[in-house]
Amino acid sequence: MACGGIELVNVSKSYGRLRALRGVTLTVRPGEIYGLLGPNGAGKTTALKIIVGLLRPDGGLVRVCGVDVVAERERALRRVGYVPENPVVFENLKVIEFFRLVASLRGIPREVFEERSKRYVQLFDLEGELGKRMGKLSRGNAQKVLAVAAFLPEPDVLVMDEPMSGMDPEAQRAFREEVARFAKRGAAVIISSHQLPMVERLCTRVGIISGGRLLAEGALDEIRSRVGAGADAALEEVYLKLVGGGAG
Amino acid sequence: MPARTFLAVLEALLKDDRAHYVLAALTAATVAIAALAPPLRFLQPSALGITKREAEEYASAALLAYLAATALVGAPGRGQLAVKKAAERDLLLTQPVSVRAYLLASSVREALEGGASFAFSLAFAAPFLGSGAKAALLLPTLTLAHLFLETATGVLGLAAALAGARWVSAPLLAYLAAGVLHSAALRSLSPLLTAPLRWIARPIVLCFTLSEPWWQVLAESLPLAAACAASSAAYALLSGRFTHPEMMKLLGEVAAEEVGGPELSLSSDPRSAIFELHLKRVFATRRHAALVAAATASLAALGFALARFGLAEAIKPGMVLVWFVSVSVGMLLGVAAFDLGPLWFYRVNCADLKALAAAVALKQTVYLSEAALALSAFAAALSGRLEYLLFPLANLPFACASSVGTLAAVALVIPRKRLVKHTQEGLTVPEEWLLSAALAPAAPLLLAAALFGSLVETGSPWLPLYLAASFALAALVLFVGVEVAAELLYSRDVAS
Repeated sequence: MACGGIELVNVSKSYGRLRALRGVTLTVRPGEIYGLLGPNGAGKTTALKIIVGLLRPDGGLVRVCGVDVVAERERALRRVGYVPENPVVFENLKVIEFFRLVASLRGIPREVFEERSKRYVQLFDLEGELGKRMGKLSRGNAQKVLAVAAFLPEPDVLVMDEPMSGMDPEAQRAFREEVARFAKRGAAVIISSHQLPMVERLCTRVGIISGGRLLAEGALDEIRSRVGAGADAALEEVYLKLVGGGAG
Repeated sequence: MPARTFLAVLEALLKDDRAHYVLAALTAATVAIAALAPPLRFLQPSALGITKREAEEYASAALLAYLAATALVGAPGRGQLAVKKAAERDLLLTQPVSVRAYLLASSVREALEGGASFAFSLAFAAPFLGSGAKAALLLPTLTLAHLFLETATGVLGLAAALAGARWVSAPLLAYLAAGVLHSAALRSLSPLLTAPLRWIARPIVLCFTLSEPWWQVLAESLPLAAACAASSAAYALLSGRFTHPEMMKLLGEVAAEEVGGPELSLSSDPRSAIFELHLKRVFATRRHAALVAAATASLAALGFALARFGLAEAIKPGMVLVWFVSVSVGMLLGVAAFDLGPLWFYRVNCADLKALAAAVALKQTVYLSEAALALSAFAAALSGRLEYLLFPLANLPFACASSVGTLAAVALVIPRKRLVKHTQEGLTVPEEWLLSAALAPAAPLLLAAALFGSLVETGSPWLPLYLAASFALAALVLFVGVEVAAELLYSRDVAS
């Protein structure tokens, strides 16, 4: 299952005069779950959109599974699953139709689709939602559907932007376990989130971004020692020290 | 309702980037140019071959038809109100803003934007219209007319929500039917259709005439201003009956509930899945076929009825077709925005974007061709010339060019905007103008409709050749246009 993971080398991106990313370099290796943290407007979503080819970087190199995303986007994305934050969805499609569309575009054989979709529908308690139109779903259920759509092709790379917002606690636990299962099988996972306790529990490495720059990166223990926090300091405390929010 | 809340909501609704400043500056500049321009006798009602009175009658009947159509389409049912924009409903759900404040502010916003937009486009033509100093009155008059229409349709919508939609739609339809029948009997527009809103149309028409002084236009606008005040007050009064934002239903949701069709199946070919989603699922339904058949049959019946009452000479079928193709393009943008809103999904899932562009362009072409078919049935029935039924074929180059032009236009705004089902959702007025400008290359093909009409009327032997050339040109436009649109969809950044 493993591929080369995710590499961003000196990536920059501006929107007009706003510099959203300023030379960001980070790596997510196969089997890693990387938590990308930062205040609102720090550049997290921009970074994730660049990884999945929705935005073109102004400079730098982006590789997924060893393939340059800018030069060979389709080849790079064939093994990527993506959960966007609050996206525009197919409002008139029923949930089951949306899953079928994912399977059709990804070339998932019928029997494999039946087996996987059944499993994920049970896991995320979506039986009652399959016949509903996407535009009618609650925020939490829409997030569950988007997460299932990302898991269905069993990708080698998962890119997830605030994937658990609105999910109920049971779904959050199912989501965490599924992400951990993917990582255990060798997938490279990058998650942007403001849910620091979840990141602390789930992620193997953390990157903290602010003003378009990566302020710190590494295992939580490494970052703790870098900012001079105690060995038992919570991620929230470390985060606030780094982004200038005080000791919390 | 505190005035401060109303003003705060209005300000929030009007604030989209710096567009309103640009809009205000452009409008002021063009109105000033128009006001200073010397009067020229060109394209005035008399120059168009109609009298002032006829211009008023046509305009007032058109306004009545618009009012009725908006009221009939926009009423989702008892206990519910239709809103166009999801973001505004969210505002109501999350902020301490009353439904009344929102509705009134929304109407004023629509009136300001609509009035300014119309005035802007008309002001460009004003130096040629010979309006002189009266052009300066165009913006306030149009804005007042918009405000009246907004609040009056709002009152009808609220009445439908309170009493049930059929209590509003049934009398409206009966009244319109009586007006049409009376017109047929008179062999001219019935006062039933022209009288109700003549006092709205009159000051607008007078802005373009030579003989009436500016103060007469001003005086003629006073009843309009009084009606605006009355309809706004009625709107405010009725909207006070709605206190729960949950009653606000998005127009798109209303439409979505009516969409049936076969379920999307699992396909082994990704391109087939895209065509099934955008074409088969939309068109291969009994409901859709029934709607197209009903519209075509109704228009054919109307054509027969008008011909029987001797109106065939008064209505030029060729002009009806030209009018149709020029107004139909405006509808395409919403369809394209709705279909391309989830572009992120197609991009991330490695969909064939050429197949996507082709499917969406074909969908729009089919929509336009179906509408053209219904109108051609009207023209054929009215004139007794069956050749008019070939109009959809003659219109294909324009339909294809408009479709791919719309796709390209949408692709141009995708890096900056989340696209959703209604184009007005988030698009500024100048951006909508920009999108319209992107369709400009299709404009010369409008002549095709006019040429077709004249070939049919003169019984030209060149008609078969013309139709064959139209088909070939349409195929070429579609082929090249899809390539260009697909490249834009592939290479542009995606905001949503």
